[in-house]
Amino acid sequence: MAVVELRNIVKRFGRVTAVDGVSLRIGDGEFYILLGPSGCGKTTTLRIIAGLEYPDEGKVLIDGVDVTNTEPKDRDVAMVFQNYALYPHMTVYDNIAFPLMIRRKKLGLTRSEIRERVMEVAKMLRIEDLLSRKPGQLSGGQQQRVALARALVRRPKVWLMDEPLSNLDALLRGSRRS
Amino acid sequence: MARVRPAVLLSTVIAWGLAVVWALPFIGLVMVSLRPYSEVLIKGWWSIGGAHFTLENFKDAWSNPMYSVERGYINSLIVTIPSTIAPILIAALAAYAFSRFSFPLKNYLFITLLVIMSMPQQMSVIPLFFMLKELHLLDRLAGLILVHSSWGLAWITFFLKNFFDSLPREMEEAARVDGAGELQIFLRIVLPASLPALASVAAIQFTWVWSDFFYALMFLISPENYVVTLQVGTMKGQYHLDWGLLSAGSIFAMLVPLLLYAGLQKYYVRGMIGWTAKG
Repeated sequence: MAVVELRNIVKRFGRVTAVDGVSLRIGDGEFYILLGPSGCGKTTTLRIIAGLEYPDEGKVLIDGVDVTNTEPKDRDVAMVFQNYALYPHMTVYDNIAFPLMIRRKKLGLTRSEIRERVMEVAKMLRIEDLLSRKPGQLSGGQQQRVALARALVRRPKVWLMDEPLSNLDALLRGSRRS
Repeated sequence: MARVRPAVLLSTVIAWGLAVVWALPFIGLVMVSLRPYSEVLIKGWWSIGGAHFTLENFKDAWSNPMYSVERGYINSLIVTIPSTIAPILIAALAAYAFSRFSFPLKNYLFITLLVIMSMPQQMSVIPLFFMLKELHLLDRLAGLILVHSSWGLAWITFFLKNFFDSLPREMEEAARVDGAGELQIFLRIVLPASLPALASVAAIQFTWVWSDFFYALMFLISPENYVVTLQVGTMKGQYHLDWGLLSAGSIFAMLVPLLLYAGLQKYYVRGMIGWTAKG
């Protein structure tokens, strides 16, 4: 885990200011929640931390390193998207394994180690029996768990989750939070 | 028994009527190709009483050295396969760039594509003829491949750009966060997710190139280079016309697109109505 710092972040889309001077510090291992009405800039803030949007003003620091203009792949963050953004042509297993497969050499992982990690996270989210299915064959809640698994399998410095629990049933939601 | 509404009955009858009218020439073609020339000439193709069926016309059309469909098939495949694969590969890259990236003159380039798409083939044939002559590609299958590939680039880019526009960008963003580079995203996420659209494009481009007569007629001169559509043309003599032979040749020529259509019907229809339409 890492320390995430936002310093006076401003993001404008044309004449609309989506994020207006946000500064915050999220400590190492801290569970931090952004709350607010829809359209207030929560998702944009997350996307700025992930590197999917670049701020017009301000700085993003991860573990004290300025990553404001760093590519998402070089930030070591994982993200769960609000609409899950699963890869429709891949099975659930391949979806979860994708972040590990894509940087297999960099992480020094063997295929069996990847399999082990995928199985571990699949078991935790109770989706072991769905691994050979395609996303199109899953319910909304199941898709969301797969998206969550894809982020959890990474063990990155930062986890970003955009409405990650909205489709999970209450029982599972409780266990995920803990 | 469920009652059939008059409007439904009427539209069904009209649809069947149209289907029969539509299919009639093809039925005639099959009948003529399967019967001896003299019999068709005397009795007419529609008379079935006492008809003799034979595959002689097909045998002759396939292997006669004067107008061998077999040679035409080989040439057509040599032209059609690369003329389908090459433009799809190149146009997919261009379409992705048009769909996802900003670059100078993007809109003007896209308008140029649309203009090229709307140009009739006849307009380009004279400059292309001289260009191929300069390149020593006239009367060569490679020249025809080049022409078909280039001609296909515009519409395939336009088609795939529209499809890529409809793909959710979050999928690519997820891959970007997961650690994939731009090329990896294109090859591992965008292209596989676009397989149905690529199949549509391949089916339409293959059929288009296979069925082409005009460009082949303009750019192929030696009979040994003739593609199947031109070979069928050579079956028609100046003073004699064997309808049976010509029909068999025509059926051979349309067989490959028909089989392709049967195999990829879902993608073909989807490609025709557009991927953005629901259904």
